[in-house]
Amino acid sequence: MIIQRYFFLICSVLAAINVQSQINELTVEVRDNTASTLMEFANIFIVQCSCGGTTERAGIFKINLEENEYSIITSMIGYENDTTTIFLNEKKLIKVKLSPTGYLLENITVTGEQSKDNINRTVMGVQRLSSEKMRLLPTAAGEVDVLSSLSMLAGVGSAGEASNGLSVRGGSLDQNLVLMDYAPIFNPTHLFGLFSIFTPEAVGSVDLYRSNMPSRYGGRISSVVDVKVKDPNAEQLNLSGGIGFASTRFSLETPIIKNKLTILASTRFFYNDFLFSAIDELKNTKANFIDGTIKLKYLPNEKNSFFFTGFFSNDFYQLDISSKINSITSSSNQYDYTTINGTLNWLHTIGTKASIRTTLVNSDYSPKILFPQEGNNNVITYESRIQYRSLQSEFAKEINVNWKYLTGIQIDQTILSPGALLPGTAEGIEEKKLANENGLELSSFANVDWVPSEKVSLSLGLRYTRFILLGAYEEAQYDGLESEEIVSINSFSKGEVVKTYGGLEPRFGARWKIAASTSIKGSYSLTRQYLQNIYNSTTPLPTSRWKTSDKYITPQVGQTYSLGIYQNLKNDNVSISLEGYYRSIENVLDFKSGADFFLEKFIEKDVVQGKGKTYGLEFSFAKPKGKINGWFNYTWSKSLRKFEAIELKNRINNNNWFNSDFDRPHVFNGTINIEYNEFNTFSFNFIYQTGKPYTIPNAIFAVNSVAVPIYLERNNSRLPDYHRLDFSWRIHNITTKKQKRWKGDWIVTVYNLYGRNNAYNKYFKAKQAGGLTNVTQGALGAYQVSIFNSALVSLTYSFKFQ
Amino acid sequence: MKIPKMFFSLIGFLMLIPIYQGCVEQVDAEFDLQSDIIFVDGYVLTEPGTSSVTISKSTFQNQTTYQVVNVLNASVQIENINTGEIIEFIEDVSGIYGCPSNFAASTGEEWKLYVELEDGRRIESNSQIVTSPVLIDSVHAVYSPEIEFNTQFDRLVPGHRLSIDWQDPANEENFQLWKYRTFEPLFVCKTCQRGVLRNGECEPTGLNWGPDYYSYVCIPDCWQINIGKELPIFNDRLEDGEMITEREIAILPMYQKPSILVEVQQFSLDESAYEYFKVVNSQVSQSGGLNAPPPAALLGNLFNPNDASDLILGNFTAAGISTKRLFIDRSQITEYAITSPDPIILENCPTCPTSYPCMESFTRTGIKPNGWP
Repeated sequence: MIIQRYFFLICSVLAAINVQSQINELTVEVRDNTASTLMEFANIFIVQCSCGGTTERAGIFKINLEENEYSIITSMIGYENDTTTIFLNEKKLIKVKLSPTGYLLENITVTGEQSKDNINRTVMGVQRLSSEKMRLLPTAAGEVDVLSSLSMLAGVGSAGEASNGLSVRGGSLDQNLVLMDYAPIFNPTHLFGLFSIFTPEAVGSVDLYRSNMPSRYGGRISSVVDVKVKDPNAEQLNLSGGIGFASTRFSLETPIIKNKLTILASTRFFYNDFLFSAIDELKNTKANFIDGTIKLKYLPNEKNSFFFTGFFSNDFYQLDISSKINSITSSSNQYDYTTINGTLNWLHTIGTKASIRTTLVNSDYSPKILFPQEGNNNVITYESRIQYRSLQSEFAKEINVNWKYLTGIQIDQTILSPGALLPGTAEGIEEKKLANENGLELSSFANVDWVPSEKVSLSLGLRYTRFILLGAYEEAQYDGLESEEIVSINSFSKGEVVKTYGGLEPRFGARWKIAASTSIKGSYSLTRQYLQNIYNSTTPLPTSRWKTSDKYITPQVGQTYSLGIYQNLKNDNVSISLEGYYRSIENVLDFKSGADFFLEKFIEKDVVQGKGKTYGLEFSFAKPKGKINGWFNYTWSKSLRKFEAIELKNRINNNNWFNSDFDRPHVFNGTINIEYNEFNTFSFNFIYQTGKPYTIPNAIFAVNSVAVPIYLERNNSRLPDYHRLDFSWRIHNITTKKQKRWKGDWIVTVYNLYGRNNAYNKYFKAKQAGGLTNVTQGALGAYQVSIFNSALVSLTYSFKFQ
Repeated sequence: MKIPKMFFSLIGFLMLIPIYQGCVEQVDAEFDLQSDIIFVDGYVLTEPGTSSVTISKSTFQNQTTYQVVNVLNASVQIENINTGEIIEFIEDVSGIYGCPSNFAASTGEEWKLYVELEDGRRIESNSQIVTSPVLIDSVHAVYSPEIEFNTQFDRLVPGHRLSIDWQDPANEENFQLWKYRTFEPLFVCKTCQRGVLRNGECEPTGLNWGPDYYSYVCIPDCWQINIGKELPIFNDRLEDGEMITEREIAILPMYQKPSILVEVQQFSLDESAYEYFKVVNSQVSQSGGLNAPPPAALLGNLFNPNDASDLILGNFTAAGISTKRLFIDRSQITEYAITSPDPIILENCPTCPTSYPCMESFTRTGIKPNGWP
């Protein structure tokens, strides 16, 4: 706390000496001219200062500017531009009304950011995707998909089509903090990774922090994916939705009490599995999912705003395969995952330049595997659960145009139920439940944004975290360092402190504007991760086990250093950047050979902790405006791991550095949008990445006269390179005349246009069913698993009624 | 380019529905094979004459072709830690080291393996305690015309689900491994492709006409032995002391119509052997699919006492075993078998051979198996 006091004292002194005069606040309020609704994410560009941004909640954008005459250009996809000129000699509010049009689309700003944001912003590695921007990207299902859209950004990759999340800058999937209106999402995908979990109609914007995380975020070492649900701003009933292969969507936004209470309710469901009955192989397969988002906004008075966000998601799959987990055998198995999140958010403004935001979050994730019994209605259930609760309060103040700060506290509680087997009425199977893990995380944070001169800006952040593992808990004591032999067990009673970890997490970002359109930025951040996902399969499953830190599984600590140069060309119509990064990770987790986490009480026996490092260079090119717009990124990177073990059987790659599962040395992704005319927009995505590492045998021997592959090293080869071209054709509002309240869009999407058979994994298996007399390399067959090996065509109809 | 409104009216809400196109296909295998790796598969068991040790080594024939060879001329012995008794294992013609025919380990004995290779390299195991055999009560085979989807034939195929019953001992941890093999009648003991049988060997005819092959039937009777390619395992952590019924061991697809005899062996393991076979099982049975367990090495309880960095793969397993057989009568099944046998084509001359003896091996026997009616 002493450090924090000094920190604020220094900030206050610096603020006091930097106060400038003749600064006036400009507020821009943007509304839809037809529906009179307030518009968030409208683009504001102020010509004289080459500055601007996007409207935030309630369609408001604020900026402090020196006394001068300014031309303010307001734009939004599907609306005519508005240019207003004012003389700013006092605090002013201007109200802009944008008229919808099907004709003027040439000014689409696909980045969702203003043209000089990339040059002026201090924080590195942050990227915002608006829902409008995501709508333009071709996806497998032809609808807005947050994770697919993010994978088109520099430094973001996935393990393939069926990856249950994202890998950001070579990090593993659980190293990303995925938030939806402040509530964490532990399983961000449907259908084992084919679709993002976020209700498409409800997504307002997505911010990805992959380099310098602001100090208000913590708990993950790789990135923050901050998804914000649209604020309900309607002044009359708005309906929107769509129908397509992937799902059926519907959304409603309406005032309940005029100017006081508004609601957004949005849902999506996928119940197309009846189609499987036509395919012999899939006739008993089921795959359904549903998600729904509700957001209420209550404005009791000018100083207070209350928001409630509720999110529900459920997946249910049945695979008609005989399965055996431990001693349970079932002719089919079912998966059932449910997420129920709730966020209560109170924003209290103090004057015009300060506010207090308090959020209360409850997040509940419960995955289950169900084993229906043959001949009766009994179902054996294996379930786990994460219950997360958080209280966060932050105070933000803008001292002047060059100084603003934020400070806050956060208390998180995570109760993990690692696994329970519920036999129901099954005879001969005992109920078994692993004890809950109760983790408490106390954090305080502060962040100061300071612009000491026109050329230099700084973002200084500090976060302090303290993690406490509380009883009841049983801690095994082992006979030696790498021994798996338990000599005794320490028992902790309920509420007793088992283990604590913590420390300071500095975050630092600096920008040096070396020319009007060129800047250099650097950043450093340190983060700790107390909760990790442990898996021993090709990719983590939604049912993979989560684990809080304890005596043996120590927190992961990541330190990221970044440096980049950014330049805008051709009157800000083109931006290029080159960013380099290096991240070191302590205590990264991996599994031991043959590890099995199913109902394992002392999981530390099955894992090892070691070091990780990722580094790379990202080159980005973007042309955000014009009839032909888009961007491409090329990334060269490495992601490596190293584990030190004494015993031979615990060693991974003989204690040497080796490629992690997320090592992709070369990644290229690009998007191009062609606005052919007022009705037709064509978009293309192209992704190329080096094949992911996989493991090939070092020997083959016969056990029980069956050929068995022997693997002495991990990730000693690579799958073939991954590449894919996607195409979408969006037909705007073809059937409606201008000014009509119903608007409809058709979207034709072709995913994997040239039918590339991208490998998801390869595995080795004996060709012969036994009785092997002569073991040669021909005794093993190699088999490639792919998700899509042909083009995937879908047609989606989306509508909007307002 | 304005799209005619009629186009959209026609298709209405009809969506273009893609069919799932994922697949598993065989591809060229890529290896990083290494020579001179030693693998030991050793057992000390409670049935007389069944204990054995196989020592194999990876090599490259002609420096290109990977091959596993049995290591010969090794000294192999096991020691009873409690009594100091030493049992010498003798190398047989196939290079497997077998125990004396009357030797059987007893429950509770603690045994250790010692191997010395011809080049002086030494291998030892940790001592292993022989666990008490848990007896199989009964073996069941239940027929289904659609027992599983067979990716090779791209359809649901008929077959039997093989399961067993046993009483799990209470208040102790028990671990099981099952091995199974089937005996099915073999009618053709030799086939000569584009050739004829002369002096026990196929000789090419050099003719481009006539049958593609000649068949030589088995005389006397012969049985083909198929060894199950899966190694199912079990632990009783969730079912301690229960009467366990109809635990599935294997699926036996009906490749051929004749009846078969199946033999199931239940090995009672200790925990370390169970952990070893769990890794074997994961590599053999569960390596496919989207979320397959990642590859692992087969490192058991063996080491070189003179060199801690010497990698010795495999395991020395002490186990009590129980064996049971079941005859599966397929005569009443109306479905066709998955495959149909090639027609028997005999040489058409009075002096030509039409039969071939059943050569004894571990995949073929002329001795009527116990349990065959």
